[in-house]
Amino acid sequence: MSNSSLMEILLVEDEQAIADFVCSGLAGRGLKVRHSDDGHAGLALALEGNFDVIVLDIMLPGRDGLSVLKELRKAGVAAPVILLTARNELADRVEGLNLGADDYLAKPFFVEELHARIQALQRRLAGDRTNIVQVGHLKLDRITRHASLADRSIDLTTREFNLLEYLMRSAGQVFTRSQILEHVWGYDFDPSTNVVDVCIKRIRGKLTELDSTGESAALIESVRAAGYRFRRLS
Amino acid sequence: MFISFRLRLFVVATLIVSTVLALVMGLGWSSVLSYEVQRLDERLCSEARRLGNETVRAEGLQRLEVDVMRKLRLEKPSQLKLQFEALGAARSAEPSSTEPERERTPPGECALSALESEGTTWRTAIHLSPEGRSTVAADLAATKAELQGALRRALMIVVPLALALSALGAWLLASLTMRPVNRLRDSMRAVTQMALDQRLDSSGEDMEFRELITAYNTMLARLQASFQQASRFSADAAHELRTPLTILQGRLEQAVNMSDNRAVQAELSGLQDEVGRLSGITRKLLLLSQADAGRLALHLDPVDLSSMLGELLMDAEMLLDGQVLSSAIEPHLMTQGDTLLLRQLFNNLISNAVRYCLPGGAIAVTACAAPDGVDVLFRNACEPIGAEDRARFFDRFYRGEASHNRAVEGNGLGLSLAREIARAHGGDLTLQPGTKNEVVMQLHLPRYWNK
Repeated sequence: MSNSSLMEILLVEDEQAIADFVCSGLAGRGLKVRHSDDGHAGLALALEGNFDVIVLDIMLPGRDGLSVLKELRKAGVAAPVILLTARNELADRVEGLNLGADDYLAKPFFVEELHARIQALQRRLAGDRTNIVQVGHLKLDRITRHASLADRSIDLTTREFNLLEYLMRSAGQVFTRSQILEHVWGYDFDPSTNVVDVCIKRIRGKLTELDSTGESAALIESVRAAGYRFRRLS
Repeated sequence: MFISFRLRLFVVATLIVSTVLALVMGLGWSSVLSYEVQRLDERLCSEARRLGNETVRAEGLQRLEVDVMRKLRLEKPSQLKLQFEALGAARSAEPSSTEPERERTPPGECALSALESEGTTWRTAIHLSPEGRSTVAADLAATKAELQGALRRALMIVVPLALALSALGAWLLASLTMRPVNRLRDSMRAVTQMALDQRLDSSGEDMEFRELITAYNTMLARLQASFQQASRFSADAAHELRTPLTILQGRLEQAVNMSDNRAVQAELSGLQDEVGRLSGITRKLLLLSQADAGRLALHLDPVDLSSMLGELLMDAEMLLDGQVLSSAIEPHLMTQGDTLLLRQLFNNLISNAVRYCLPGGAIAVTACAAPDGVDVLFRNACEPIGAEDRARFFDRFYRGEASHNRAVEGNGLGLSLAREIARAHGGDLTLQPGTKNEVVMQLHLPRYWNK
């Protein structure tokens, strides 16, 4: 994440408690965050500053998020915008995408997920420089969606690939089942299932097939009852 | 049991008109008949008087008889009897005259009676004059029969004609009565739960129907108010829950990342699961309330149902706990739809099938093209489910009996929401009749659909 340290994010969110954990969460992941709690002030900030990504809540005092987005696009600001939707989320999503939003996230959301979306937008803008994720011998290509272990190809399903990629992007960090479920399966998936555990088991099985020592499979660590993390290799 | 009001109106009106007609004709018939009988009697009397006239008798009884037969329309001489009994010798010859007999005969009584003789009824007129007693008896049965026959022939034309006319009138009356009722019915039919704000127009209607429309509109207004209140309540509740849920989830995530204690992390992760579940319920309630209010916003795109189903079935395979999953999906089944909502719909149906399927039981998903769209069948083995439980399948927060016996997760909103999503797409979700030990859900989605 070498380029992350340079990224500057604008967060326009009126709920102080939400703004607090988003700001500290993104700052903890190496991003610089400016916060505004009002539509008018947020629009003024967005127009003068040169932000890499703008995160806009839809329900705002003063001026709502959709109208801020409209003004920004009218003024020629091309910075990618992620909408935080709450009420009537489906209608807002449709209108937001039509107005030129790049992505949307429904509340409640994980900061980890917001971070992943911001990074994805950045990658899309920056071209194909950061398409390879590699930890040890395990290598993923985000564009071709090809996975390999020591140059031997691994046959992964879409879900398995996405899960592995999600864990590998922040090696050493614990990901809870809920976070994984939301990122890989989407927030409409039943959280009471054990689908995450089954999927991890399958990935481990596939890694063991290629590496009978079991070292590769052990790269995915179970954090007892909490979730999973990818082992950080020093 | 279900007789048409129009038909009933028609029958009653026809019956009333026909009864009145029958009464009027019956009265007319009997008065015509009695008038004719009276005329015959008068004729008999006048013939009796003529018989008392000596001049007439002098011309010969034979001739008189022929004349009377003609006047009474008798066919045979045996039907007529003429008799004159002279009273003593006090008869005097009178000069013949062409003057009307009535003026010449002295006023005398004419007695009428009916006499039984030789098996026939004789109508008899007896006239007393100073000269003697003249009797005219006629067998009038045939004459009366002829008269009745003529009347009957007339009625045979008049009665069907009158009946047809009254039926036609009754039908027109019934149609006229039904017209505003039909108009009301069509207007009421157009009012659905999506359009509770519609009101019926009472202008140009008759007074009675205007009152009916006013009463209906009042009822609709009350219904709309309470419906909107209920719908807005769950939408508002869902919205109000959203912010604290977001904060709760964010703080939990932060806490997991900050903690190095495995036990604490496990605890927080478990709490995250619960928040996730709560978010799911909130989201479903919001969608349901939007669907109820007819405001489920769809973002329509071409959707490849086959690949969506394939992907979700691969997920389902990971969830199996001894059940056997089979599928037959035709490739490239396309529809117009909202990707997110359709995914939710399939998710709900598939996870339901897995959740309620018996251990070791069979789950089968088939999808094929239908003439006007796509049909998807979800079939799973289950513990025996009675008709009452089946009838409640789409009730909100209802969970089958199996969920009490076994540790089955779920909130009972899935099927209800799935059906609303299907209907919002112009399709439908129905529970198919099947054996007691099987649940078969049929989903129909139209191929192309414009809201």
